[in-house]
Amino acid sequence: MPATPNKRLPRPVLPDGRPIKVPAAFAVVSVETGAWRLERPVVDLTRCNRCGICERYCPLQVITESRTTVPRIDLTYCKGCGVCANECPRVAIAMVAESEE
Amino acid sequence: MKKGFLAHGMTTCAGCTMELIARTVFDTLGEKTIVVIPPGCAAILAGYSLETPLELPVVMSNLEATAAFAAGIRAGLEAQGKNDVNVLGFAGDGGTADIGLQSLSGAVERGDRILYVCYDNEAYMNTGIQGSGSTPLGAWTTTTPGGKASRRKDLGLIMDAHGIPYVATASPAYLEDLAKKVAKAAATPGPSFIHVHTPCPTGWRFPTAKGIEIARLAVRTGMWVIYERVNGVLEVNIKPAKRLPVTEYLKTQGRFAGIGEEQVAAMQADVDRTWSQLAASGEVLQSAGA
Repeated sequence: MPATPNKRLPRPVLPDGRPIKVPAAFAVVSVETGAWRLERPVVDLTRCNRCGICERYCPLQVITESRTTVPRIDLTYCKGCGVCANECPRVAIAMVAESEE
Repeated sequence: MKKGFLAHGMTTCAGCTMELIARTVFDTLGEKTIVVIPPGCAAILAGYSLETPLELPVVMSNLEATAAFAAGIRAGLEAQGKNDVNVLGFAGDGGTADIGLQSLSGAVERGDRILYVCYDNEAYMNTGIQGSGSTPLGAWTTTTPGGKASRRKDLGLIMDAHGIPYVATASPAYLEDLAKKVAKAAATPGPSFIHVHTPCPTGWRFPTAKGIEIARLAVRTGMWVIYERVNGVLEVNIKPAKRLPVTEYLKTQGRFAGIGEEQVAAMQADVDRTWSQLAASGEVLQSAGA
């Protein structure tokens, strides 16, 4: 399981200011779950009206900019569940088998 | 690219609605929040050993003691004079309706100011889909292979019987409603409880894409009533204009594949009775919310 060190957490300190020793391995878990995917969401930009519903219901929050420019889907983590395609009111997202192009 | 307090790349199942609920709850509460999570599906959010995907202070409690851990954290905060921190218990139906019921009951009875969110996927999903007190009538689980013979507990009513100041139900199909309720519960000067319907593709046997659709169907068939009760006063927040038959909900899930006609009739009768009681209590079913 590849883990990426988390640089954003502040160093923990005791109330008197002395630092608390944290194990060097403390890290944010991150698995590249995109490898699970059997089907990939593909957005038809001619049908998409930027309503943002796919972004709202994506369980992983890997869809961004769906209301401003075009829905961007982070395929590093997208598990291919298909909730975005199922919820899209304009049927603008197709689930395409990963083996096909 | 990352939003909110949870990292990407968590090992929740594809299509898990609990993850969507957790992200919505954390985003609403903000960074001044301490989270208590018992073993269960959401234990993935607390992390393992020295790793965690959650950028909030989080402790993994014992399965039976989520509310007691949260109450202790609140007591510690109060002793330090810190009143601007949310203490959240985030547990499944097994850790709430069955194993954790005594500590939750105690915390609510004492009036400890904790926010308890139960994500109800209606069985012990993390350990292999064993039936729980919240598993509905007729549902297949690995411990009810012929379908559950008894009805589910009504957690909302159990909490109401304690005189809890805020109790609500919510659904991942109505995220604004959920976020509004989380904010309201966090501002409550006492215990608060939110019961969230959580469709589970793995345990309920439906395609991963259908989770939100099924959550919405549960509301439209009247199987899951979206309400809140503030100091005992009930308000139904989403009223289906025309309730669909419960079969519309049941047929979407493989766990109800073997359900008998009498059980379907019993569930429909339960739903009809619930809604006629709501109508009799002044909650008339007129607006087309869903």
